[in-house]
Amino acid sequence: MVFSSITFLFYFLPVIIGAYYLAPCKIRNLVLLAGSLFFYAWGEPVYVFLMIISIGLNYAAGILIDKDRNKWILAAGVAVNILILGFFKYADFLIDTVNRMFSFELAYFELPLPIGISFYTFQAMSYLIDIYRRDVKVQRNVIDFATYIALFPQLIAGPIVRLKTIEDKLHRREHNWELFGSGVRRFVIGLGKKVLIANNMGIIWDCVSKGDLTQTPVLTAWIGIAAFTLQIYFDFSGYSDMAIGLGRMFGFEFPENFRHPYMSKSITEFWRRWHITLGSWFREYVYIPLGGNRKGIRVQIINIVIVWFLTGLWHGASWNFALWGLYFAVILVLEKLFLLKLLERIPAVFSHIYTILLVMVSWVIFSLEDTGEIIQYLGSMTGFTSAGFADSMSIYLLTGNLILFLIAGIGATSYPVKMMSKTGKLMENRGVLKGMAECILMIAVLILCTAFITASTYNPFLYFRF
Amino acid sequence: MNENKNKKSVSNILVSVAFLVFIAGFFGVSLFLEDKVFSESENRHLAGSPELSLDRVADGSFSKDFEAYVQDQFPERDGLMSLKTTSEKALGKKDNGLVYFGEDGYLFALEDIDMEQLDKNISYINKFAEENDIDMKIMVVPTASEVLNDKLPEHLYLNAEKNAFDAIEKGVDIPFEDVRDELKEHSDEYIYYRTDHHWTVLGAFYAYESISDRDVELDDYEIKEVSRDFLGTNYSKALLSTIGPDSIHRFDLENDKAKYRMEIYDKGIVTKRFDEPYDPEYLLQKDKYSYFLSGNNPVTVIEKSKKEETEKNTLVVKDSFAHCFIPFIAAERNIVVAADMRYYRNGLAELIEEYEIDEVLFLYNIVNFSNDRNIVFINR
Repeated sequence: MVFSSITFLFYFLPVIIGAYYLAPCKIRNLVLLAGSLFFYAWGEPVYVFLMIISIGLNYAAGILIDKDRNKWILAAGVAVNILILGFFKYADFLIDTVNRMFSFELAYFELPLPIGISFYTFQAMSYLIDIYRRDVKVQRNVIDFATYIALFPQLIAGPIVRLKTIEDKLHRREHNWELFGSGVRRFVIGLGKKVLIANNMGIIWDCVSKGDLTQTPVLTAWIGIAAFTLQIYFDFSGYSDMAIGLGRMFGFEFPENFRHPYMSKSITEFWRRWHITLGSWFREYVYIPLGGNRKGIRVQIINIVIVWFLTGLWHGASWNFALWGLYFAVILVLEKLFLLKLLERIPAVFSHIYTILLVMVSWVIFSLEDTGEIIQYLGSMTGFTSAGFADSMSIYLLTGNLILFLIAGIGATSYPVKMMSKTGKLMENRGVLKGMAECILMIAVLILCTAFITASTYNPFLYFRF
Repeated sequence: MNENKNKKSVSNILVSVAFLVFIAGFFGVSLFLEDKVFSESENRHLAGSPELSLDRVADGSFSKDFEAYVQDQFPERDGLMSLKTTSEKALGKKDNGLVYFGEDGYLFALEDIDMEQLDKNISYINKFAEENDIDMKIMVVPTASEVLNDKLPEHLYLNAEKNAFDAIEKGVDIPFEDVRDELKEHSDEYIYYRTDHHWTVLGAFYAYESISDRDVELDDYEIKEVSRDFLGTNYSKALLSTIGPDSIHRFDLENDKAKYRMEIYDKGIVTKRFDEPYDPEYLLQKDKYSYFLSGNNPVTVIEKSKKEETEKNTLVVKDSFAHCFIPFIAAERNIVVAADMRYYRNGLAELIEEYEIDEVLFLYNIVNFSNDRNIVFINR
């Protein structure tokens, strides 16, 4: 079930909120767990059992690791998680690579990817390692542990939450209007980002990327990748906002996941602002254990390459994602070696341009699976095709979406948030007025989102009634 | 301090309650709302409540059907769709993914053209020409966006249709009636509906004028408005309330004394009978274009009661664009048989023999001719 659907917004959500708050405090985790399993089973009626098995294994492994901190049990526990993830996500990719390299004809498994598996196995692994490190207490209550792993707000698209950041809330949380209200605000903002901006940007990107790439003029190529750049940010961060908002409605506080990444002045900074919980997971459990920056510059460079190669592959089982990760690894190494010092000295506007350009190029690698297409597209962006600078279609795309681009572009900066909190402070002593204004805005966004969600299923099957 | 906190929580309570009322309100309303079977404005059947069984839950089809169901049955669906298009227009967008917002209140459907299917369809026509010794020709009608391209949003350049016409011109072995230029000459007239993808009777008339052997004049016809509230398929894709409805006209030859009989056949059985090639019942429904020839049917036969030695029997293999065209040629034929390959699968040989057909006219809109997968059945 996705958050931006009628089923979630108007069926699942009112029912789960009602059930949760009507239930006595003692069984609220059970209600959340049951709701989360239903939420997952709705889209993955079979794979929900995989998730339950994974929960059971990690629960048992946690208790065993806690008992005598046996290194081998930890290794086995982590290995099982990696195996599950590897089998369901990367098996066909590996077979395909082997087949191509040695021209074998090994059969594929052709299993659909269990949604959210990359998120919940990463959470489970962090739990086991943290127990071993004595960073977090072992969970003996299986309901509580299962609630942590399956918690529906962050189950299918993150943020990746380490148990220690929510452990106190898992066992005992306070509920008040302030937390619930801020959750509602955050959720509605996230919904708007996803439905009103990301989806519309997606239409532009589809229009450009599904056209004849050999005939794409420079301007069209830039419009397309700008649209994708905005789409992926508003989609990911909108989803994280919705997760954080939903978490608050149930008394949790999840970590922030995106902090206006497109305002960064270097790629190093970008990765401190983009998908923060994923970055810190790799930092905590791969980069630092490998020695991080403590073993000299050569080891550090190797570590950066390993971590970004894995980060790339985490985003999908395809070589372009690995390439995307390595691309960032190279830039990060260069920044570490000398670029960062240079970027600090030049006027800020240039470091902004430097960063956003490199990020946009990275999205070309990210969004097009085929290497030939990536090269073709980069060629179009730089004018290495016969299609020229612009054609009438470029102008059509630009003029028809200018306002949308402006709204999205401004929305990706931190200015709207700053403005909102300023206005909020001005109205602090006028609670009713502030509340009314917020309600009107919120309902307007909700109605618009509902309109876009409902109409997107419109099925133009006209004049055929049988 | 305490007072401050109170004021803070007032806005939080308001926001929280408004949100809960909103989501629970729609939930409650949709529980009590009766399911709609058919959407008049979208002109299609809406999804009904899904069937619940263990198998269907296990393979995920129950969830999918349920999502389609609640989306189709959502309260105020039409209003929400209209709101979406209105806000897209307000944002300066020039299309909503389904229609382009044109000038003078015109909506133009976004169409895909399948060049591979088009090649196949051309080869089916050529195969038919090779195997049948009978006069035949093909007329392909351009879309409104091709003919009225000055009414398209600025800078929009569509070339798929031109490529398709080039392929037909080059590919077909039978005479090809290209009516694009004739229609373009009259592009300032009301030759396409604003809210529907079809051409008007006037558009069909100009095409008829250009291919007829006779000397036909617009003045020979008495023109009557039969409806002034036609909201067609393009309207359904936008539900823009600022777009006014279209008018539908019928053209009657002033000195035509012939009597007609129209019969609709399905699997060889007459299902409906009329005494003219029009079905006035449709004028009371949403799908008013089906006034012409009573809409899409497998086989439609229009026969003059008094046969003339000099007049021919014609078979029209067609889509719905032919419906307002056929009354013109029916006036100069003894019999016109119209076959729609989407619903008639028995091949044309049978019809040619039964009705002693002298000539075959393939009459399609360019989009259907390029995308229809049923033209293969002409050779059955």
